[in-house]
Amino acid sequence: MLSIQDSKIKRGGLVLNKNILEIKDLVIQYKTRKGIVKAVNNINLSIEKGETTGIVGETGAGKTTTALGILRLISDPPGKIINGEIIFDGKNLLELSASEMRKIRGDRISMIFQDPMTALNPIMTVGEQIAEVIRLHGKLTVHESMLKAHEMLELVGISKDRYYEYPHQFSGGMKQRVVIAIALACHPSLIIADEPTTALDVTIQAQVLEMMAKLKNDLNTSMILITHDLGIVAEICEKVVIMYAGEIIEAGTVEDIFDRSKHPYTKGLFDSLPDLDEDKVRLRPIPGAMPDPTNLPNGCNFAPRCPFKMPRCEVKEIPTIHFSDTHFIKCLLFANKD
Amino acid sequence: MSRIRFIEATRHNSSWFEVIQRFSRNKLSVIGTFILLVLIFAAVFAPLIAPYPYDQQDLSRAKEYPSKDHWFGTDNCGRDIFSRCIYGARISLQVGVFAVAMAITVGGILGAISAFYGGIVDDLIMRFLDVVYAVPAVLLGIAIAATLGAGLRNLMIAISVGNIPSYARVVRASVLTVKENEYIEASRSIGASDLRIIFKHIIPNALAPIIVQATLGVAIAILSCATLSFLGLGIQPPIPEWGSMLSTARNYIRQLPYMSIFPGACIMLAVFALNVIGDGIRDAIDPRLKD
Repeated sequence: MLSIQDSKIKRGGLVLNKNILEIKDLVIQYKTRKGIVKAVNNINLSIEKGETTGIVGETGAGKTTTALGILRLISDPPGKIINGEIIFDGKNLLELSASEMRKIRGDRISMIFQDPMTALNPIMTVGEQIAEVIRLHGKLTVHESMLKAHEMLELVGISKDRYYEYPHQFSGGMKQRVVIAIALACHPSLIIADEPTTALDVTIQAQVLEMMAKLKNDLNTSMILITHDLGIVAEICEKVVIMYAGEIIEAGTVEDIFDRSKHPYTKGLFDSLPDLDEDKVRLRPIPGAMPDPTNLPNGCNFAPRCPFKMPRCEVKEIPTIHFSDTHFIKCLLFANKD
Repeated sequence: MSRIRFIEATRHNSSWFEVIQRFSRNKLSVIGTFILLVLIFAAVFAPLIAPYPYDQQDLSRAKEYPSKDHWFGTDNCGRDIFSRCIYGARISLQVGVFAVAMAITVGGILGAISAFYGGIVDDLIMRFLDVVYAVPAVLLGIAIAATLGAGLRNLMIAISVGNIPSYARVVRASVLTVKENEYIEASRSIGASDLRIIFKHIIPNALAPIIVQATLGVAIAILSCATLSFLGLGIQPPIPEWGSMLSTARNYIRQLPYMSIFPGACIMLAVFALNVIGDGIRDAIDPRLKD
């Protein structure tokens, strides 16, 4: 156990950068018969060590594509990373060979999938599946990895006696715990959780989230949490990124976003949530739907739905406006105040 | 030390043990297995079991009804039908197993290549196989057997070629469905290599329908073998084969019905046994149906 931690420190030892992950100008597109789907457009994102960043957005905003892009798991064809850099621990992942990339997946960066019902191999015991990732990265012998898998099971609150059981013998919440155990087994520096609780009951959601947050802190791991649930974000994230139509339209700390949100879309998101304190007569949903990703509008992608739309929103390139070190938006509303 | 423990561990978690356990709970499949084992035993030890050599003719005792000396009676040449049925199991099982093995190897490789590479490779292979598929298997078998000539080896080839497209389709479909599962992506996300994903995750999950198809395929191959032999394109007399025995018996079906009943019953038993075994395996191999 200790030796794993040591080697990890050595590997990243000389890099003094406090960011574990930096994404620069990432562009990901899918080629389909209908045209080119612009799934991720020029996003910039950095994740600090030990920090949890929430990526929030509607379905189709490019959250999952971004996550898969980081691990280079976009299936090609039809998907392709067109441009950008993904600097993880000082190395650009996009320049690594396929086998170097495999060494990173599961070991340094791991992923928790949305649906635990289908994320486990139905004909392998859960224990074998946890042991597999440990074995794959060649750290321990077969027997040791089995013991380690026992340990991981206990860590996520499952008795190690259930090592030899199959996924179908587990409930949804238990399966997600197994998935989390697999993701944490090699003590990765970064976990990408793609809507880890969407498929679970509300009561189980809280349990799983609490456990994830605790384990993440214990192991000092960074996490990207993809979700469309702002409540979850408020609970466990330090930073928030709001995505819309493949772009980051607002980003900041949880306080920045929850207390000082500026972008009309972010405000719209909050207005479409029920609030116990305020006596709202009716929720105010954002009118319209996300633009067709094969045919994005000129200028601001949100302009067609924006209540504060100005004529130049549909013409001009939208600048990024910083309010503080952490808080920035992409919106022309605040551009003229500079 | 750890190696020994590992062996213990693998023995303990061996899912095959559980599969066998589940299989043995299915009574019909157990009966099928028993019948198949009897047939295999008969085929292997035919010279020891059979009371007479399969080609020994005794014209003075031709066309006898079943009796103490000749359990299944004798045929028009005075040969013991019981002995011939036992020797017939050799040919039928051999043809069934080898024809299916050939078809599944060629078809499986073609189907798997199609599914993995997709695109134009998939189109080329599958359209070609569709052409083969369009010709009925028996007709294709007849054409091949007629071209190559009669004989055991040619019979196997004739039967397997007609079955290649269906195996290719089953394997392709099965690999395609498994490939799309999230756990395949998940295993990619933990850094598994393509080969590992194929052998550890895709093939075991794709295996169930293939095994079932193969078991049922042996039954079909035995039938095809009987059909071709019945038509005179398969095994040549005096080598006993259930189909060719039926073919001879056809001329005597009114006077000596037992001549066709026994070889026919052998075919039926073998096909029945393989079918219920196929069903049993399908149910046993799926851990979701456990308990």
